[in-house]
Amino acid sequence: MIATEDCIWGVQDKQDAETITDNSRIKADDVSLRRSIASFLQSQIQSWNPDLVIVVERKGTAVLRAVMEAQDPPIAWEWKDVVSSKVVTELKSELRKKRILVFDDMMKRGAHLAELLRDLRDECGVDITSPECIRVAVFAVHEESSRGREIEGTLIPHAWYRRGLTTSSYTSMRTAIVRMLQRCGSLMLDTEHMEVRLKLTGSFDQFVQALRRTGRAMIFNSAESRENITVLYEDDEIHRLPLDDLPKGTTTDNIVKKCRVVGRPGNEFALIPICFPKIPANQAWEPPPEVVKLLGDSVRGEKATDIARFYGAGMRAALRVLRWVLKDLYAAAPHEFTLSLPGHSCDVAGGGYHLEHLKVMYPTLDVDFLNKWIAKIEREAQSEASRLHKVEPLSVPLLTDNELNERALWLLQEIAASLDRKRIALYWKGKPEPKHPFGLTASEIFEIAQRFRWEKVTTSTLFDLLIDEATLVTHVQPVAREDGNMTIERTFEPDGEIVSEAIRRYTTQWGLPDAGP
Amino acid sequence: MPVPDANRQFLFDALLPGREGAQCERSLRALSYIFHGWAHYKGSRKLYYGEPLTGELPIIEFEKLAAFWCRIWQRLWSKQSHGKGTPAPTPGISPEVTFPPPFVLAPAKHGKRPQRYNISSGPIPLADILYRQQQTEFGKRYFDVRLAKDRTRDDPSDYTTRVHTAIPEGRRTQLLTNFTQVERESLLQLDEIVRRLGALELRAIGTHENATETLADIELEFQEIQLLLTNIECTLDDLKVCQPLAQVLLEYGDEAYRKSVTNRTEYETAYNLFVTDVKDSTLRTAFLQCQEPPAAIWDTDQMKALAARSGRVYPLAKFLVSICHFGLHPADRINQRTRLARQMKHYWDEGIKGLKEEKLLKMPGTISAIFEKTTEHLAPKFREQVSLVVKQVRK
Repeated sequence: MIATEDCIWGVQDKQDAETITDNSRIKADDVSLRRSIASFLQSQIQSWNPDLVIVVERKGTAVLRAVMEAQDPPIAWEWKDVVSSKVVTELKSELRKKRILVFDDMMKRGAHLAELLRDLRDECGVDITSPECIRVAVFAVHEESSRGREIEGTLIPHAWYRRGLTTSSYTSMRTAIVRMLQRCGSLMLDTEHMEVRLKLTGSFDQFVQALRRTGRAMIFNSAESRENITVLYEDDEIHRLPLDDLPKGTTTDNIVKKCRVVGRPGNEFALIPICFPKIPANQAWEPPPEVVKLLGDSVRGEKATDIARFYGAGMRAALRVLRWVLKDLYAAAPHEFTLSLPGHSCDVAGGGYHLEHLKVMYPTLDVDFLNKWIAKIEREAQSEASRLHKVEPLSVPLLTDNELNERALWLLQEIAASLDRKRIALYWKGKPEPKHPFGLTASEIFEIAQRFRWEKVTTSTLFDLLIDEATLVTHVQPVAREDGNMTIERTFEPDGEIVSEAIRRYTTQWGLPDAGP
Repeated sequence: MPVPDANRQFLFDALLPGREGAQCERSLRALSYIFHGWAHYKGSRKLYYGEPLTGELPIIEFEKLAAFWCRIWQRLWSKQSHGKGTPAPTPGISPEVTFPPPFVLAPAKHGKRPQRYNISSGPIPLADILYRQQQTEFGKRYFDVRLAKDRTRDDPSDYTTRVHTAIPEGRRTQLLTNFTQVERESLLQLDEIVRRLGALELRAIGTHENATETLADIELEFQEIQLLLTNIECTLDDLKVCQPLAQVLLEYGDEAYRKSVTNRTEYETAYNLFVTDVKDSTLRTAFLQCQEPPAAIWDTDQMKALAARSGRVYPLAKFLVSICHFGLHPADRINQRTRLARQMKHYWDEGIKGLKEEKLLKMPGTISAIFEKTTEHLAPKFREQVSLVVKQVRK
């Protein structure tokens, strides 16, 4: 028998564990961390006076939103001057003469920053070697990059708040940032999805039962026991997407089609409809006029990028999901909540909210028009709901948070192992390491989950749990179909090098989960 | 398996510093224990291509033994922790199997090899891990990996590499220090059976586990074979270019034929020995869950179709290698004085025989008759025939 203290099997770092579980300290740290990030960013903006801020990937964007929403200290910056690294190629030469501040929350070896700098140089014609054009500011830097990394002739980062972090400190800092985002109470505060907020005035149970009217709603808790609900809409007759408004050849089977409901302070919930159909690659899209009015010119015609078309189609499809969720709520629990619609950025002083941050991902989005569209959906949903019958709520598997956490880890292991097997196969075929992004599609992940006999709603909830823990990241990438054509699809992969390595180590230490015979 | 609570670091808190090193070390000890038993076995066992083989294993067969051990051990480990939502025993204090194998069993060039994946250097197969380790100050710890003397490069994965044990007989039992009772018993039973298997039987039981994986492995061989046949067809006018392609085709054809046809006999022997002689019910269950019966693997329609395909590719590859050689070495066409020339004549004979049996080729009486006099070019009529055969086999 081997005792736990037998160091040959490794021991947990108790000091670290105590620090992390000290709840009061975490809350205090949340505020000081957010203030530190805000001060750092504000000082960069003040001293360098950029024309534009580019935020790196989803987490970098979420961090910016957290500090901009808190305004503690205030950041003198507007959303219209922020763009996500994911969509810089849409802006092309517009960036050439601008002073650009690139902001990322963390940097290990700078792989994503390198990719962004290459895009800026090759696709947008930005002189990335000029200190007058580009400044890279990173909040926390791993010791691997403490002396800076030379990327395409530029030594980055130009500015940092903390550097020389060991892997352990880096991981703790990363967790602290993720916890801070979770406590802010929005889906990683990201800027990819629209959201509509409601105040729960009645029973939470009835609210959930209403969501289960036509959707399959599963609950899990994130930091501070904040409720998260994943509402999955099956590929059935009543949950069809408006194909006429989407690019020709769009497919909608086995895609992400759901609404996330995320608890916020003060019994408020954010409804976040998410839907990303698979669209054909390299195919011009001429959307109907009202979709063009909503999304702008960046999605139409030959010049639009696949990424712009994909996100554009996603925005349009998500509006349909919003209709389903509102209809269910108004039909089954009309007196349990008060809905508040997004307003203009100037009119939110009295506790309202706005969607200006969507400009980061959708640079040509007409936010006012989106607000009107959402308001129209709300009116119609309310009116249609009054004519609907009561139905029995849909059932979902009953799983505790611990069970969900365990399965989430299993799923992450399987995703990582599957990607590693693909990398290994490429290596032995003498092919180069696949380019980033390199993830699994939702269909592939649902297939993995089938081996464990998990229902689709469970798997979909696990996606959300992993994304909220910042261990799984989403991308958009071309995928080869069996008929030889390419589609543009949502893909998922472990979030960065630190998580990838951690999950590899976890699998080595504990083995892959056993799906049973 | 620890489940992180909501306030702790998801995933990161479940990692134990230093555990992988201990796992690797114990895994190598376990493997060394079994290999030691095999290497010092004095009883009779099946010959290795007509030769007795004691004290050493070729690297391919050694890695297949390792792959087999990994599979069984993984199953023994996961037997205690699987289940839908069943709480797992606390790691490290289980009285049963305390660690899973630290290697990934993933397809390499020909079938699965035990590997470790490293983000910067890619996969590192077991052969390389052991060889690199013995080049360090640790030296030969459990194994002695010996590269062939006439090697052209230091590649431990080359099929000529041999593995010897580096543990003296008297220290063998020390290999199991700190192993649990269940671990020891499992290893003792495995040792009892493994030592009686010939190298080719070890190779077969390590290569195959079930029909799905075997089919996938053979399909991978055929993906390469298809590409090679396409390229070969275009190079029949230049045998210098064709020769290396034919050589690689022979390698893949050989692998496909082994996996779909010849390995069955060896697998059957090894499988039956385990089924009859493993008494421990845990190990027996693990074995039966890991290894399907031979009929389940080879008696499917899909496998029979692949066997038929490889039955055409393999003789064609031998034939192509031989005609490339004789085309480029006209003097060998009549008299085969060197060892290489005799081997090529052997390929020629086997290739012709196989292609005739498959009714794919009508052959001229002599080797010389297929070439344009003493040139290195195939006679036009014959070139057409060969091209046609390549096309037919590729279909």
